[in-house]
Amino acid sequence: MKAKLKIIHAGTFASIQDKGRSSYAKYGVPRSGFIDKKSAQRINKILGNKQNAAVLEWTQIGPILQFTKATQIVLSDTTNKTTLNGEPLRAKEIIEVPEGGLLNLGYNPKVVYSYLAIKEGFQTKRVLQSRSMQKGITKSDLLHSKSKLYYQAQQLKISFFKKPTFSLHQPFTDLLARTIDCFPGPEFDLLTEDELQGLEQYFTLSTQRNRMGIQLTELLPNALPSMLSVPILPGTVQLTPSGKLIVLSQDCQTTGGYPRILHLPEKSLAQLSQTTQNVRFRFNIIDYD
Amino acid sequence: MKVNITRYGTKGVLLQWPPIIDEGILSKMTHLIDTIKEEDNILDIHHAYHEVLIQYRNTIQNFNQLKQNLQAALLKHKKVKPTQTTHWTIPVCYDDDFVPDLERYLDRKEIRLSELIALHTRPTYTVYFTGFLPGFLYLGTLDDKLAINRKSKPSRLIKAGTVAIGGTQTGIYPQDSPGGWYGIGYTPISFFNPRLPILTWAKPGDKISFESVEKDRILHIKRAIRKGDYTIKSEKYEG
Repeated sequence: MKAKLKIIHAGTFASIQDKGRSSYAKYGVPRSGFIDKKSAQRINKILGNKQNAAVLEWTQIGPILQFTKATQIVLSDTTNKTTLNGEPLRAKEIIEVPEGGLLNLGYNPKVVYSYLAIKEGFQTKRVLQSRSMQKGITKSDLLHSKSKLYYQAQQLKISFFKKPTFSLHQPFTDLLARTIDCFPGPEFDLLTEDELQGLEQYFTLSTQRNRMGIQLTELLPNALPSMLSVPILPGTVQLTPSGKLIVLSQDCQTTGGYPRILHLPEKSLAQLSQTTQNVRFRFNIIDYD
Repeated sequence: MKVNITRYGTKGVLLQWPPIIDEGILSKMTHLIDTIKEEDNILDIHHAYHEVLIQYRNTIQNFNQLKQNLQAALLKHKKVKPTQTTHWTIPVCYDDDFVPDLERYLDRKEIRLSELIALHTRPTYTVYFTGFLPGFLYLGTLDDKLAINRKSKPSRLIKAGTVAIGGTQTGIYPQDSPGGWYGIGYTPISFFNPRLPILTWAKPGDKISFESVEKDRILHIKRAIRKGDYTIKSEKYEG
C-alpha cells in the first residue's frame, strides 16, 4: 500500500535522486542522479533495497518529515539533533518508523550531501526512466512543502528505539582525500607553463556550488582562446576567460563553450562534492597510461 | 578530413573534427553515430558542432583497439538508407508584448523592427545539435547584421518560447531559464516534452525557418496547441 510522506519543512536543496538519466544527452537532458553514489547505494543495501532505489538527498539542513504509515529507513549520517519522535538516531542502521513518526533530519555542517533511504525506495513518478528531480523534466527540481512523496507502507517489525550509544558524523573515510585524482581534459594541452604551474596550487571550494557545478575560490588567469560549444559531462572542469574554474556536477548541461582543462572520474567528483568550503586540496593529474 | 580520437575520463571517448560550423562535418558525425549506436557497450552518444562524445558502459580497458574500431567505422561507407530530413516552419510573433528585450535590442542595433523580421525570417537554419537545456536547438547561421554581444549580466528569467539572439547565434528557449541572449520574439511551439514517446520533433540535419505572425494568430495557435489540434508546418525531403 502506498503511503504519503508529509513534508513539514523542506530543508535545503533536498531532492529525490536515483541513478539518473544516462542515455538522453543528445536531447540536452542532464544526467542527474546521486551526487555521492556510494553513500546512497550503501544505505539502500543496508535496507535490502535495490542499490539504485530512489533516495532523499539534501545538503546540511535536513527536512522535517512525517510518515503517515510505518516503514523502515536508513540514514547516511546523523548528528545528535537527528531525531525520530524526539529520540536520537544512529546512522547506517535500520530505523523502524511507526505510523505518524516525526523525523527531524537536523543540521550537519560536516557533511555536504546526506541521504535517507526508505524501504522499497521512494515511489515518485519516473520520467525518462528515472525519478531524479530535474527542472524541465520532473514536476519540480527541489523538494518543497507541497511535494507529493510516496512510499510503500511496511509492517512494523520490532519494538523500536534501541537507544544509541554513539553517533556517527563522518562520511566514508575515502571521501576525505585531500588529493583529487583527475585526467587531463581535451583542452589541457593548450595551457602554458605558467598556467600549468597555477594548477599545482592548493584550491578551495567557493560558496558558488550546487548540483550543476562547483566553482573554485582561486582563479587561474589564462589566455585560452574562445571556442565553439562542445560536449561536456559531469566531472569536466571548465576554465573561463576570467580564470574561474568550474567543476561540473551531476545536473550539468550536456554542452558548453569553455575550455575543458581537466576531467574528474566518478570517485573524484564524489570526493570533491562532499568537501566542505574551508578544506584545501590539490589536483593530482594522471596521464592515460 | 582528419579526426582526432582521444580518451575522455575512464569511460568516454571524444572524436574531434576541425573546429568549424559545417554541414559536411555534421553529416559525417551523424553517419558515424548511425553506424555505431546499436553497439551493446555504448551507454550514450552526444555531439556538438564538431565533436562526438561516446560514453561506454564500462571502464575502457583497451583504448587502442577501440580507436581502431572507430577509425574503421569512420571509413565504412556503409549503405545507410538516405536519412529523411524535415524543413519546419515555426510561427514567431516579434512583439514587445511577449519579449521585454526587443526594444533594447532594436536600440542597440539601431535597426527597425521590419528589418529585424526580414533578416531573421529569410534564412533556412540548419539544426546542428541540442544542448544547454533539454530541447534547446543550436541553429546555423544567423545573418551577420543581427549579431549582438551577449548581455554582460544575464537576465534572471527568459520565458519558455522566447526566440533569442546571442552573439552570432539564434535559438528558442524551450523552458524558463536564466540567459544572456536578447529575446526578439515568441513562439508557442513546444520543443521538448519528456512525457511524450517522441521527446522532440527536430533532429540534427533538419531545417528550420521562422515565419512572422501577428499576436492574434499566435494566441489562436496557442489555444489550438492546448487542445491538441495544431501541427507544425513541415516539408520532408530525402537528405
